[in-house]
Amino acid sequence: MEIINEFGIHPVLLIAQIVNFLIILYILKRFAYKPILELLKKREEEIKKGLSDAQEARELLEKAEERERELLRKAQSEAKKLLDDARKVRDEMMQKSQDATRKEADRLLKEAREQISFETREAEKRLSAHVSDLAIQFLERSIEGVFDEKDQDIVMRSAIKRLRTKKN
Amino acid sequence: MQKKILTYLIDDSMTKGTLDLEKVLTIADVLNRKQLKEYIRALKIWVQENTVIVETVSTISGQTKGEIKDLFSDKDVVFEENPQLILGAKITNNDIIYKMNLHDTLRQLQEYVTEEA
Repeated sequence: MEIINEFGIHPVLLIAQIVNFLIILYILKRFAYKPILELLKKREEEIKKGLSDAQEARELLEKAEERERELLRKAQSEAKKLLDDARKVRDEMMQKSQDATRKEADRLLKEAREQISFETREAEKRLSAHVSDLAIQFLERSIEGVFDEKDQDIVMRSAIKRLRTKKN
Repeated sequence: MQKKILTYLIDDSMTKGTLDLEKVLTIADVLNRKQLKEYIRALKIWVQENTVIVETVSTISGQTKGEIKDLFSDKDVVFEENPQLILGAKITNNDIIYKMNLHDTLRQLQEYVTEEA
């Protein structure tokens, strides 16, 4: 007791302070501590929800990015396929066109050769006819007056004989 | 004009198997323009069918002429000169032509040579 007194502690005051403290504690617990805790809890939940939403959003973003990359890859693949197809079609068309052109050229060449051959033959025929015509004219002129009436009579008799044979 | 009537007219134009000019003129007088055309055409055909044309280079002997006439005794034989033939004769009997002369022989030879070429 003496020690307590020596330290300046008055039991009554101490008890009153304890009571005051308890009263303050009750009041604080009743009117301040609980709402603050609730507020903190609510705030914690909001933060948790925010973090969760952020995580979800990040995941969604990642998914969207992944999907975008996938779509891009797919689009690139399709574009490459389209380009390959277009090149293939172009090559085929060029090949067909070249084949057709070659065939047409061959046909034209063949026709031209045939035409040249035909015209050459015709020219040769005309030349041959002309030459033979000239030869015959020359021969006819040369033998004009060669045959006398006696020759004529011999030929006529031969002709009559042949006619008789034909008629019989 | 009917073909039968034309045949009668042609028959009436004859005297002993040859055309009689007087009869032809008499018939021609009674025909109209169109009938006359048909009659003339029929006469031409008759003449063509019943005439043999013998073309020779020069005049041939009477004996040869006689032999040719004997060959075509049922037809009228006309002799013509054609120096172009060179040698031999060309006898036209309606649509049959006998080319027994040097000119046509040479031409036939020419055709053969040209075709072969």
